[in-house]
Amino acid sequence: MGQGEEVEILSILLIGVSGMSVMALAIILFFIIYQKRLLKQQKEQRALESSHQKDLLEASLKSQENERLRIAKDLHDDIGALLSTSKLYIGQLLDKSEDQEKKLLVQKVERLHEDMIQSIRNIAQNLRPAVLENMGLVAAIKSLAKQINESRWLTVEFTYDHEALLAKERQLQLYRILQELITNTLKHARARTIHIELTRDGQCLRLVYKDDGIGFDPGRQAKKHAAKGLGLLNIESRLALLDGSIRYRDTRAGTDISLVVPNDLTNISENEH
Amino acid sequence: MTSVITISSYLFILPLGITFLRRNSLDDTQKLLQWVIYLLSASQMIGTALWYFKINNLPLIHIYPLIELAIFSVLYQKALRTSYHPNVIPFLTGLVIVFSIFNSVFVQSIFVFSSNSITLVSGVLIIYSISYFVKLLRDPPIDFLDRSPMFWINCAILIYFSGSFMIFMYSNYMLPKSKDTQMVMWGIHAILNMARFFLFSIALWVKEKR
Repeated sequence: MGQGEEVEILSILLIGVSGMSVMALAIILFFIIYQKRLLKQQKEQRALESSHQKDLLEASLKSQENERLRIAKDLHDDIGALLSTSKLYIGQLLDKSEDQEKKLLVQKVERLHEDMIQSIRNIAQNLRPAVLENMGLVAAIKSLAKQINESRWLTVEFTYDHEALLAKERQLQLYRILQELITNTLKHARARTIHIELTRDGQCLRLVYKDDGIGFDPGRQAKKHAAKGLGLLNIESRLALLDGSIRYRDTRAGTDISLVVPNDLTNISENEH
Repeated sequence: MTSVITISSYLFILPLGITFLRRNSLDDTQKLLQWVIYLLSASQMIGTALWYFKINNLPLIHIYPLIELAIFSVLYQKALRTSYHPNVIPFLTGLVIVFSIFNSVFVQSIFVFSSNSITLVSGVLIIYSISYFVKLLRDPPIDFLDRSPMFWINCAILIYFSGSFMIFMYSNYMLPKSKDTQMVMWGIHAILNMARFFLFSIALWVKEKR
């Protein structure tokens, strides 16, 4: 076999080896690109699903809030007005009554009416806090703290260095979260003091909630009840709408929760304290 | 070309070093690959020693590809369990091993390059490797491919054995040719071998992420 033939065979071999190697590389590249595209598609689909779920949740919470507002208005404007009117009539009845026994009964009915009017005001206030609507989150938390402090069940301390720069609807979500936390403390914690702190954390709003009760472990709670309680789920759903995050600090005694919510600088003008 | 061949001969140190560094955190796939690395390193060292003492080292080529095929078959048996009947891979591997033993005893003496056997091993491993990719196409994985040791092992097998397939096939035909021709042939093999060791090193280094 001559030199030429040897070169020819070597060339064929080289072409064969190169061809096979290029084919192998092409297959590998195809798979890497294919996988990357697939992951991108999955990511986009997940984002779409998550956005859809967020929209559904938002709509559901909005309709819940609208319903609360309607009930609060009905209670305040209709039943509240009727009770106030009937209280006036009772007052007249009291003036005209001469029988001492009857007078005592009418006085009792009048007191009951006063209690009813106050209860309806409280319920309406809880359903849609007017303070929050008119004066914002800080004033609403102050009012909530005052209300609880007056009950003398426990003491609420509230400190803040920052007014929430959030749209009204977002402030309401945060307020509802706080209400849920306070309800949990009142129901389960056996605490004597609640400490609420509202501070600025960069472009975010940080809400720290602490109590000196028996504390709870969300992980253990989830295992114990197979799923999280409605309260915790409610908090997390509302927080998801606010694009916020929650951190439960590990404490042997008491609750220590930190919520971080991005400030909504574009919607509200800054109002520093 | 000589320096490429020399570097390629000692490149087993890279994956060997990684198996040592990550010895406590290797997953099941990487542990099996570790045995392939031990096998390749041992055959490389023994081969070099025999060559140094001017002893024919070709009998090694009759043994180690079969052990390598057996280990990779275990890996592919696990990776392709949903693609093939569970007996297909053991049967095919067994058939290749029986053929190779027959080839070494009756066709190609253990003192010549076992081109038939090693070509067949290459062909079977290429089939396994392509089957793995087809499986990925059918069941797109949700985990990151570039973090999967099996993906990198598969790449190494496909690149090395596809490239070397024709070299192995024509090796006995090319061996009597001039030294330059042989140098080119084994130089290309050395480059493919380097690619294999690099890809094996990646396979040993990565941690599966989901």
